Amino acid sequence: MERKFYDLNISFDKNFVQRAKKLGLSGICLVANSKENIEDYLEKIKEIKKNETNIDIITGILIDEKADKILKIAKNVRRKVELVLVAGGNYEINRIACSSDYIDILCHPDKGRQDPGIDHICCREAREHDTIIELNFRELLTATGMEKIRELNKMKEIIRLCNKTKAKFIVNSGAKNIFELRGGRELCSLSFCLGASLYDSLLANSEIAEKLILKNREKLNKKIAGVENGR
Amino acid sequence: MEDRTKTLPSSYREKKRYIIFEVISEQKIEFEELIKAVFSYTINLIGILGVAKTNFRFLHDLYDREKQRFVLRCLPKDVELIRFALSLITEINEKRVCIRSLGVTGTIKSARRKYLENFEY
Repeated sequence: MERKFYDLNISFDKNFVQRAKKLGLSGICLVANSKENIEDYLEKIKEIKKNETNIDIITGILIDEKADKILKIAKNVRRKVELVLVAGGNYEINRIACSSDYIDILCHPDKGRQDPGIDHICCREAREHDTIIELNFRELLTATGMEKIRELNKMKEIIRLCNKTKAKFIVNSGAKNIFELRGGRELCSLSFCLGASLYDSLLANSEIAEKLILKNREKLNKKIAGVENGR
Repeated sequence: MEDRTKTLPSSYREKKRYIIFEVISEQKIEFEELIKAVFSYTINLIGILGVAKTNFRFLHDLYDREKQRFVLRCLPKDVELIRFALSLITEINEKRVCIRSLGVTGTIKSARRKYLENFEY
């Protein structure tokens, strides 16, 4: 059976759907910023879903705010969308994201930093609270020269920490235009080349992502075990 | 005596893998441009020594101009590395591109059969 690959951080745009199909992705999360109107966004996603049947389109909100506002926004959007993502880069934000049950994915914790942005404490918290740490492929594509080396080094460190603490990680394309989108195997090859085992890197972008989505969908539909159909 | 080494027995030869790639672009990419870009990006990522160690080879005969598909040969353990190196290509001669891997095969014959079926050679 062929693996289903997911990309859980793509900017919200209709054009991505066709390209993702061509690249063989089974599901994509078209992410909107938390500052945008969520109702409008959900309606647009509904329209896209009507036309597309072969690809799973997931709703997600990226919270790009200061540390004190993150949890409040996360609580608000949790019941409206399937995925809640937080834009990392600041240690305080990274730590909050890792230690919260409301947040699913911590995006690019190393953005704009010299270090990976997370430590063993963050990773342990992430494992306990089922938060996935993201490696952003776009960060690599946009970097040049020495920057690229530094980016790869930071990503290697993140993978090493995740392996050591058994925290979950995922490689997302973070695409903002269709040429930045990559296939599932290409995304997996990044984590494999940086030290993860082939099994772990394949699992990260397929089964782990799929399980997370199914779990969140069940919660949204109020089909928690023993409380079927919201009873 | 002929100045030529004997062909190695198959068990003595190094194992190979053939990776089939497809170029997705707005405009058609010339084959020469493609070769240059592929080599420069792989050398950029893994260095000259790294490329040499992977037994990296471009299979010129198997380039499909219509579908923009090409085949690379490397060692089995370096398949993911080559895949990653090529996924970093964003531009070829100022044309925006995205390179996608279609699959990996153990022989040229199966690469032709599975991915280059309508290919004329």
